[in-house]
Amino acid sequence: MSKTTSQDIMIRADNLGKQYRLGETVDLKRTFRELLGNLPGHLARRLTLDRDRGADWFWALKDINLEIRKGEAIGIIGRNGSGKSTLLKIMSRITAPTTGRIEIHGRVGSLLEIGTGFHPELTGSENIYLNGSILGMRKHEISKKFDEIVDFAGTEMFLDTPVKRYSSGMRIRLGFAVAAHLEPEVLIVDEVLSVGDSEFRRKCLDKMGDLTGDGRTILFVSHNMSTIHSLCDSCIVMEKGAIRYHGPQDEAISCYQSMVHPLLEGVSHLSNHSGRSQDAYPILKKVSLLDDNMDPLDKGCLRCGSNLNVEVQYHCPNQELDYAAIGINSPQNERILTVTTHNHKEHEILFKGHGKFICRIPSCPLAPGGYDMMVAIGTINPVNNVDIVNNAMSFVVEPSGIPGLGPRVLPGQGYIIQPSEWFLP
Amino acid sequence: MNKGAPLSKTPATIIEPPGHWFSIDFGELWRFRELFLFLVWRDIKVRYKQTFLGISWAVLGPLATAFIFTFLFGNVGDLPDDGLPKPLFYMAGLVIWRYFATSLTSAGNSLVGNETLLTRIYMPRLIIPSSSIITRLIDFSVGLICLLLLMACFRINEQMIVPAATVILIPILLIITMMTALGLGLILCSLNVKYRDIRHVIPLLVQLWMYCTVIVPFSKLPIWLGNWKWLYGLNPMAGVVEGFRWCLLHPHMKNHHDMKRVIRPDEIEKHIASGHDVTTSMEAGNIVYQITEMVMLKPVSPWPLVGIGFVVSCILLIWGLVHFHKNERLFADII
Repeated sequence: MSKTTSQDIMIRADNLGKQYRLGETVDLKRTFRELLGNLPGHLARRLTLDRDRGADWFWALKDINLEIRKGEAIGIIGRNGSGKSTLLKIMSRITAPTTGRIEIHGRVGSLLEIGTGFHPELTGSENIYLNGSILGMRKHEISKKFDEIVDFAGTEMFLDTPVKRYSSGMRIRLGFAVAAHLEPEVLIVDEVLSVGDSEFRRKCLDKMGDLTGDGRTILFVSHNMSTIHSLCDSCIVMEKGAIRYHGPQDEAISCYQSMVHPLLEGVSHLSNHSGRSQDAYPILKKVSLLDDNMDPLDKGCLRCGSNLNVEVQYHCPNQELDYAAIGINSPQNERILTVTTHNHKEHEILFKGHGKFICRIPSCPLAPGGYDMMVAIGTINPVNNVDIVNNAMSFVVEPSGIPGLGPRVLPGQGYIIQPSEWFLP
Repeated sequence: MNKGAPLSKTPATIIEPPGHWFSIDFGELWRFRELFLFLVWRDIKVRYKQTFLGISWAVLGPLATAFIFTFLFGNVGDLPDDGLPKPLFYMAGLVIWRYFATSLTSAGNSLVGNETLLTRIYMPRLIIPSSSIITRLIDFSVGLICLLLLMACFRINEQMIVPAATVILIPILLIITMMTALGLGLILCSLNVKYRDIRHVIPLLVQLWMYCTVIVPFSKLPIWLGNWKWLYGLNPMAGVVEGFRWCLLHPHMKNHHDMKRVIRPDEIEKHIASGHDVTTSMEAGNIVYQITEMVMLKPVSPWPLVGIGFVVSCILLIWGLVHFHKNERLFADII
């Protein structure tokens, strides 16, 4: 039964911990003692060491227990400084743990940086050999795969040029091309795909997807949820050096989102909002997200492909308004889409006095990611925004498997998800 | 999670906190031999890239120093030698010394220079300093060839100087050199990770050490030192430099000392006629006449000195390995 082999545990961590010393301490006396072997003073040193451990040491990782099975692709997510990279560094044996142990079965390839050990003076082909060897490939393996690597990188015409003359993009392509042809049983990848153009990133992701298909185990750190979503089966969420969640990726991603955006409440008060335009008259009072039962959401998160329901409260005692708009901006502050009452043909909507209105965007086509919402209210004739609040509220679209969209949502492919049908005529 | 899942049968790597026991995993070093060779190859390739003179620098360095020493110490300072043509005497010492000095320097700086490897990739850390010592063998070989050519340019009693058959013993000396350079290099490079002062200490150390090693031949140490002269051997490179000159050139070496001899007054004229300077001094109320005479002594064998050096280099190497091993797993954290 092949199921049993896929159950094999490849990595097991017990009680793993890593302590770092804060700040730079130059202790010549201690270095001298260490240099001279320090046999009689051994006990005394241990005592003093234990004492200052309490003072200026901190745990970058603590009590990590993990089991990872063969063929799993695990995403490791968490905020900066949560211990992700330290965990990877211990697993790739770059640094030693302070407590506990890890057992890794099989050859480990770690990719903490693209093009580690590239020497600028050496040519492209020389660097393929050097980098391959540094990543743990044998010379005959590299020779065998040389053409494939060159093909993958697409830099064949520059093979005899020193790498220092390469553009940074070319260097990355070459570096990843070598790394992609590693064949370790366990592949450890740190946030390395944040570089390079989107097409190349996709190529890399596909390659990594193929690796898990071959039964290799991948550990993958990223801040990009859609990359995690498309590549990983399950995720580890880390916080302050501990594992906060380990399980299926959807839950892990929402766990992470709620950690990263603790203030996304799904409701925003606009009376004194800093995003209001200078000459605007404060009419908009509150904006909130609702679920399909028109109950407020407790967090500003919605599933990709679900309905986006926005409730806006207003107070306009002195005039009648007949126009409202909601815009959605990308994190780079580009407008992605705008919906207005003007498009609403059936009947005219009048806003007067105290009141609220609800706007629904059915099957919201936003791709997973974070967005900002703009809300405006005014008159249509003449066109005038009486009140407009930019960045009225932030919200997050979480990935979810959407039928008809294919299994993968890749980064760098825009903000809109569009189902499509394809035919062979 | 199903705790009862079977562990994979592929061999396991166990990662644990650094232990106290000193051990070298030779099997692992062997598995990483290709990377070792690649690092050597990289350093050799890169060394003379974008230089006009290329590998000739490996010759020009010792050659220029040898001629400066010939002038300064040989002619101006009139320091003793082994009875060899002075440029040869200095060049022979410098070729092997330069190998040691460059090895020690590059081993000492190797970890800091390969910081990206240290913080991104696992490999037995030992291969970084050791590869830089192997790399320098190229320069040494070029220097050695240059030395042989230089020997061919000199004549002693109308005879061309050819290397003695003992030249085959040079690998022994080379091994002692490597052990010393590696042992000390390991200590220096692991200190360098923590204290970059070492980078400035190394050139100073190398320079002072050179003056203690290549200038005065062992046989010309003052005679009054008696058996204390063997302390000279505590510098492993002293034995190596002596041995290296001896291996290449010992048939041509002369161990002559200037000795003072008291002469009778009636011999004075004879000695003056044969070109000696006669000095006079007063001793117990009598005038004593002395001449300075060159006396040929038995050539001094360098091997006892080499032996002492070998023991010292073993101690240095073990010390270096222990110190390196104690620190290597934390290099990535403190570099």
